[in-house]
Amino acid sequence: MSASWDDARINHDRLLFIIPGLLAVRPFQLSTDGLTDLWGAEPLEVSSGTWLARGQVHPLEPFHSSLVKFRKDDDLPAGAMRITGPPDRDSLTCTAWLAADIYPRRVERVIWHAALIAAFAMLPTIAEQVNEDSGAQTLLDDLADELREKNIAVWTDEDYDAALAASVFEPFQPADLAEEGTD
Amino acid sequence: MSITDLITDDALDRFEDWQVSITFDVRKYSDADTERRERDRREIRKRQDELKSAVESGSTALASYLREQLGTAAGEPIDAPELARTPNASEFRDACLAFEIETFEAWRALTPRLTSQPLYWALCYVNWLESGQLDDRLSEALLAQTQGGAPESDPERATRNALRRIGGLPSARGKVSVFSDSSMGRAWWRGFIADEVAEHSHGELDAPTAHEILHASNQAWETLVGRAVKSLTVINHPVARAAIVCQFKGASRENNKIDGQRMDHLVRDAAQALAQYGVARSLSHVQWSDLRQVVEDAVE
Repeated sequence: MSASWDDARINHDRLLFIIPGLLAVRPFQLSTDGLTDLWGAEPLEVSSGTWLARGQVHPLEPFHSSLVKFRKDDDLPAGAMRITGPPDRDSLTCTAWLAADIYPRRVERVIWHAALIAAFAMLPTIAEQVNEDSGAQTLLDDLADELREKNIAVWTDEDYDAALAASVFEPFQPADLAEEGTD
Repeated sequence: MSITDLITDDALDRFEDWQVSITFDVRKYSDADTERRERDRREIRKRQDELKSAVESGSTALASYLREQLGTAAGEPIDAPELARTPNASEFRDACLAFEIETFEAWRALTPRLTSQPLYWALCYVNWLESGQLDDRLSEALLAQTQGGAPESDPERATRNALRRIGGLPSARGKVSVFSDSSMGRAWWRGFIADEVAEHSHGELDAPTAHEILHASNQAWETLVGRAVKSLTVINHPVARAAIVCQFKGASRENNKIDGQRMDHLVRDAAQALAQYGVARSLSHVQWSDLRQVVEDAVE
């Protein structure tokens, strides 16, 4: 099965979510054979549109693109970075403010990693404040599931380690480190 | 170069940086010492004065100022859509229904991909100034108060008025800004949603009538689209919006037939009820009459 959408109708955030599940597309009767007595003997009337099984809402875009964006801060000393949290409760995007001299290098993975670790360090606070109905909460749930699958503590755990979580999520690569150590 | 090519990541960053640099966000200074807060406030006030001066110098000066802030070189063509007609100052602050419908009809071919960007509307604004489609009187209306259009004496409020009218102020107003802050963006989005309502309302409403309902209360409009962009909710589904809008048949600002605040509360109630209804159902396949009943029960 495949799905498609009109790209021109997607707004600039490009956050797409999918709800996997099984759906009744027309009314039908569901036999209660094999179910507990609670359901009685009469078949169940299932109306069109009823979810028979419904999975978790799942974002189609990779999570990390939602977590950090970069901005220049002319007041920072050379080589410095600071991080601020999301602008509102419906977003997860932290802003990594870079000094003017390193801002042009923001595409480099070593800077990206530093910002990502800083953003992960903010997750305990962000998670407490995020609007539970928002897409941000869905992204957060998705990230928690991914970390748990890898046996990594999440921000609600006492032993949460932001550097570990960030680097498992987005591992350092030998090439990044080699570039930094060439001199 | 197409206007789409001007909306790059760098341009978006620059646009946001400009807006942040020219508005004083008290939240940023909750922990700051007085000296730093006052120093920054003075810097921001200087930038606000520059904007005011550009506005007061007329369309050419304002367009040039905006190009500099947006990082668009002088002479770089901006292929904005033409205005259906020049709005008057009142329409520019808060357009009447006829102006909105005319505007959307002229711009029907635009896509949400573009129109969801405050920067897109800001670039259009520059083009309209340079091509004489907006005259100097309208530039002054940029800073004015929304109610009645009197001059705004507070520089912070005047600046925010201008930024909202130029395209939106997402740094302060969030994702709902582009749907609600500028009269042109609002006109287009109301037209777009009205079309969608007409398509999904099983013949109950045509697009102009749906537009009239959406135009009835700016507050209710902001609630309807705001919920959709802030939350993952079933009222993002066109059929849900159609069911809500159909409930307000007869609502019209022109005839004073609506209490905007009351409508806003009812839209909230209806959205809440649909969200609960949608937990166990996909709205793509439910009966239209069932949806209408859910909304009707919610607002009674």
